[in-house]
Amino acid sequence: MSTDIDKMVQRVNRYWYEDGIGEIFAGFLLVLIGLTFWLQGIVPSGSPLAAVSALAFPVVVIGGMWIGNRLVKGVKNRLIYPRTGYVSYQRPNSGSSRWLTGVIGAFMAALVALLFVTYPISLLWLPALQGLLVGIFLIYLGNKVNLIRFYLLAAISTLIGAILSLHGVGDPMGSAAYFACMGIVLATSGGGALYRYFQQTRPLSEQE
Amino acid sequence: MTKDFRHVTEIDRLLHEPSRLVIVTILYTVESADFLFLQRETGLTKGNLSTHLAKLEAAGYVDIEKTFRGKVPLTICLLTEVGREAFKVYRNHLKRVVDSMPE
Repeated sequence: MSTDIDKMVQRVNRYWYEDGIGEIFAGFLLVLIGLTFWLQGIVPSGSPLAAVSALAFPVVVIGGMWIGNRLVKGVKNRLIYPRTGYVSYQRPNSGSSRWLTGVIGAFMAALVALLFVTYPISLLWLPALQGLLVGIFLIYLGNKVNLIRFYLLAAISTLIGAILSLHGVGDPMGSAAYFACMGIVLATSGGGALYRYFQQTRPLSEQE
Repeated sequence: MTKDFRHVTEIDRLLHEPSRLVIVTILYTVESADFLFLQRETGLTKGNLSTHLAKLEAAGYVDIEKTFRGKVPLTICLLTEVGREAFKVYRNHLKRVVDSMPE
């Protein structure tokens, strides 16, 4: 039995990410976000479709997260919990998580302000910035649950964003390409993790 | 017994047993977990895990809810407020004991 408490706590938190189902759904959501950016890029500005495309982004993000959350729980309930057990996690409401949320919020606000000040040059660097932000989030997550593939995904995210910006593909087409590419990468990574999970575990009926 | 070593006697013996400490630590980290997950994480046999959970339940540290997922019986375990507080107190006592030990 493992007596290393810290590692055990980390392993318990890692359990949610081990099967890759969350990554697959996050990947699909990023592809959808990419499509909304692409729509903004092809629709002529000022047309009624432009307003619809602008509205599509928040609808996809909020609706996608809402539906995705339920779908992930449903799939885990059917495929994962009968194999390796059910866990319900606490909502993060500790002082440190509030502090972290505050820091991230302040950082994001500063970045948005910077984008407005440096407009229109900032549009060119938006894919790089998006890649960096997603990368930072993935590193934080990788460090929290000790999953090496998240560090690799962070590096890929930063690289995709940087390549798009360096090639002069700014917003919205650069953002569309970034989210679509990163979505495919995340879904592929999640698919691989799910395949490994099924290889390494057996249904409860075969465990007796 | 001197004041320095009083903390040793204050340690909760129910939680001081390694298997139960692991179970409580897992349940402290999450909101709830089922029997299968606890068994996998602790590496205990069904019988051992049941015994430890029964002791923790008798002390009021753990709540055990028996439900069904479809036709499969499901045993959900969660730490009570008493158990959560006991774990915090145990952690502080143990820390003080370790700190008072010579290098």
